[in-house]
Amino acid sequence: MTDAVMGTKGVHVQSGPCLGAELTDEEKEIINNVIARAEKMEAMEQERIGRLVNRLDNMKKTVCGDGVSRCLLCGEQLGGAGDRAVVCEDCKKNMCTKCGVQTNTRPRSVWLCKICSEQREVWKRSGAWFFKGLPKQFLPSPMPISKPKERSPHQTPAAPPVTMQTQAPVTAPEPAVNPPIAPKPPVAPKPAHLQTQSFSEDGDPASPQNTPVMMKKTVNVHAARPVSSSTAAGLESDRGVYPPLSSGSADREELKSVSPRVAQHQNAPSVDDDDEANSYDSDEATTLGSLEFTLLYDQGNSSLHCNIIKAKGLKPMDSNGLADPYVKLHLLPGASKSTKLRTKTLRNTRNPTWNETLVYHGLTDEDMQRKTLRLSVCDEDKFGHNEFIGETRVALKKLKINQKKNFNICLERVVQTKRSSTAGGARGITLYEDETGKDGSELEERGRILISLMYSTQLGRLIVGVVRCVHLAAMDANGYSDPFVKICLKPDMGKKAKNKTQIKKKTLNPEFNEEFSYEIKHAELAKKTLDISVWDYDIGKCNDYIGGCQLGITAKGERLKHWYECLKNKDKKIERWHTLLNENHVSSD
Amino acid sequence: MASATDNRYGQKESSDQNFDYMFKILIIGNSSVGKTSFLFRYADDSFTPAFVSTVGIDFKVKTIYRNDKRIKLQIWDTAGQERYRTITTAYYRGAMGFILMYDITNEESFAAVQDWSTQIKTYSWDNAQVLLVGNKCDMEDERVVASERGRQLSEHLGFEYFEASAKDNINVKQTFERLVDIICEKMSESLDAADPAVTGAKQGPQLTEQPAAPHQDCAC
Repeated sequence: MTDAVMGTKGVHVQSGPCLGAELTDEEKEIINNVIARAEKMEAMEQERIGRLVNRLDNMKKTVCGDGVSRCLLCGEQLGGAGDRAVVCEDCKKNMCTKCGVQTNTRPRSVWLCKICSEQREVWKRSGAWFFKGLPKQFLPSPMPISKPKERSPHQTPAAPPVTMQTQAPVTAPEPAVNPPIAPKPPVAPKPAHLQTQSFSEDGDPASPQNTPVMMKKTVNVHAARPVSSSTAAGLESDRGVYPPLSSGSADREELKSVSPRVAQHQNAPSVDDDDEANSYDSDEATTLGSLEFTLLYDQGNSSLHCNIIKAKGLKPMDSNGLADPYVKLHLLPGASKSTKLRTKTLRNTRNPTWNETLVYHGLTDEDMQRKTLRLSVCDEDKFGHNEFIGETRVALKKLKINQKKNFNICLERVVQTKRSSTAGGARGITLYEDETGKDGSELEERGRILISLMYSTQLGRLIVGVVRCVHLAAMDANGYSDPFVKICLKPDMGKKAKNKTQIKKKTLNPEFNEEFSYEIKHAELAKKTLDISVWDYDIGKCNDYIGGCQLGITAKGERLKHWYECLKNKDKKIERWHTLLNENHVSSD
Repeated sequence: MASATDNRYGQKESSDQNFDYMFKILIIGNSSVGKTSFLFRYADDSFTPAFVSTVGIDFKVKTIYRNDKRIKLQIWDTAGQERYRTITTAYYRGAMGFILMYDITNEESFAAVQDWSTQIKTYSWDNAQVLLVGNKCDMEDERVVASERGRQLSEHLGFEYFEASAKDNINVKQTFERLVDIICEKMSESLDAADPAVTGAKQGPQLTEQPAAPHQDCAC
C-alpha cells in the first residue's frame, strides 16, 4: 500500500509554470460540465431565495398598525388598557408581545417584530450576510470561448450556422424570427419600430435566471438587393392604397425575387443590434448592404485579427449612383480614436473587395469577454465630410480562442450621435464622428501597458521594460496624446528610483521599447512596489496624467501575479499587459 | 461538542430544497496533497489510493444537520497545478470558507501555504474563513513537517489548524464541522452587530469591522 502510493507520486510529474498553456478540448469539456452542474444548482438556489423574499414581502403587506400607539402587525391598541408594548430592535416600532419574537443573543435578549425576525432569517438563508447583499451569479466563465459548446449538443465545436441558430433563442428577449420561416423576413424590420424601451440587462436578483446577461439580439434576414426605381415606386404605391393587402402581396413578391439570397442567408443568419428603434423607412434599412469579414483572436499574442473581405449591395451615396467605401473598426467601450482602425478606400463601387487584415494588439481574455467590435462602412468624399453607410457589431465573447470565425452580416443604420454603447454600459463613451475633438473617457480604464520584468542575479538588478501602450485616453484637443511613461520603485530610493521614457508625439498607441534597471537585492525586492504612470506631455504647461498602475505584493489580480512570477523566476523575462486606471493620480510632473 | 449524525448524503444534482442554510466551501493547496481524496472521504466515505489529477474544478454537495439547522454544503475541489490557476481563482469569491491543505510528507506543499494564503486574500471576500489542514497524518514514518510547525504557521496566518488523513478517515468530518461552526458564528455575529435598522429586503446591516469586498461586481 505504501509502495503503491509512493510509486504513484513518483509517476506524477507536476507540470512546470506554464500559465499560458492551452487547455485541451477534453479538459474544457470536463470543466464546462462542472459549470453546467453548478449553474443548475445555482438556479434552484435563486428560486429558493426568491421564495424567501416573496414571503417576506407578503408579510410586510399585512401590517395593520402604525407601530406607535397600535401594534405594528395586528393593530391592537397598546398602552395601559391594551397589551404591553415592546420595541423592535431593528425597526424601532412598537408591537405587542404576541407579535414579537424574543431572541437570546449573547449580550442581552432583544425583541424583534416578526417582520424583522423574518428579515434576519432571509439574510442568513440566502447568504446575503456574507456577500453584503442578495448574492449574484458568482459562477465565472473561465473559458468563455468554449461557452457555445456548453449549449451545443455536439461535443465537437459546432459549425457556425448551428452555433448561431442555437445561440439566438437563448439570448433573444422575445421569440426571434426564425430564418427557416421564409415569409417572415420582410416583416422583420417592423418589430424594431414597436420597441419603445430597451430591455433591462440587470436581472431580478430573485429571478431564477442565471445565465450571464448577453446582448439583446434579433435574428433578421434582410434581403440585400438593389431597389430599382420602378420597384420602389410600385411598393410605395401599394402601401399607400391598400396597406394590409399590399403587405401580403409584397411578401410573396419579395420572397420570389430574393429566394437565392434568402437561401444564402440561411446558411449564416445575420445578427444585428437593435438597441434603438429604427426611425427610418424599413425600405432604407433593408438596402444598406452586407459586410463579410473574419475574426481571429490570437491568445498567445493577445491580438485580434480582423480580416475585412468585402461588402455587397452598399447604398449609393454619390450622385453617380455609386460610393467610395471604406471600413472603420472600433472597440467598445473605449476611446474611439485610440481603438480606431481603417481600411483603404475603394473608388466608385457598391460591391467593394478589400481583403485587408487589421490587427488589435494588447487584448486580454478579459477584454474578449466584455468588449464589442463595431464595424462601420463609410463613404469617403473628397470635398465634404465622410458619410455613414451602415454598421454592425460583434460581441467578442462569441469568438473562440485561436479559431477563425466568418461573418456575413447585414448592415444596420445607427443614429449618428454621441452616445454610450449598450454593450459597455457606462464604462466608456463612444464618439461616432471622427471630427469630434477631445475624447472623454469615463473613470477607471485609461488604456493598457505592456511591461516586462526580470531580476538578473548576475547583475543584482531588477530590469523593467516599458514595451508599449495601447488604447490610451486622448488628452489633447486634436484627439491624441503625447505620451511618456514614468516608473518609480517605492519606498523611495532617491533620484535613482525614478525613470522616464522618451516622449512619443501624437499617438494613443505608443511603442517605447525601453529598459530601466534598479540595483537591489532579491530579498529586498519583495518589499518594494513598482509605480507606473503614463503622462501626456504638454509644452509650456503641466503634463496631463493619463493613467497608472502598481506592481507589488499589495497589488491585485494580474499585477500581483506578474510580480510573483518575477520574484519566483529569476533571470527570466516576463511580459504582461496591465490596465491603466486614473485613480492613481498622486502628483503632477 | 456533541455532533449529530450526518443527515444524508447529498446528490450531485440535488433537488433537495429542504435546508436552512447554504455554505460554499473551497479546498485549495498544492497538487497531490490529497484535496480530492479528502472531499471524497467526506462526501462519499470512499478512498482511492490511485492518484488522478483533478482537471480544473469540481464540486460535491452534502447536507448536514448541525446545531438544529440543516446546512447544505457545496464543496469545491480545485486543481493545484499551476496551469489551472486562472480557472480556480475565479471561484474564490463565491466561497465562504476555505480548506487550505498541505501534505505532511511534502515539504514543498507546506512551503507553498503562505502563497496560497495570499491567493485567498487576493481573490476572496475578506470575511471568508480558512482552516489549515495537514493531510496524510497516517504516514508518520515519512513525515517531514512537524505538527508544531503547522500549528505555528496557522497561528501566524490566523487560521485554525487540523491534521487529518483522508485515507484513514482521521479528522475529516471534524475539519468540515469546525469550518461550518466558524461560518455559523460569523453569520450570527454579522446580524448581531447590525446596529442600524434594516430598512428593506435588499438593504442590510453594514459591518463596520469588515471592509468592503476587494472584488466588487462591476455593472457592465
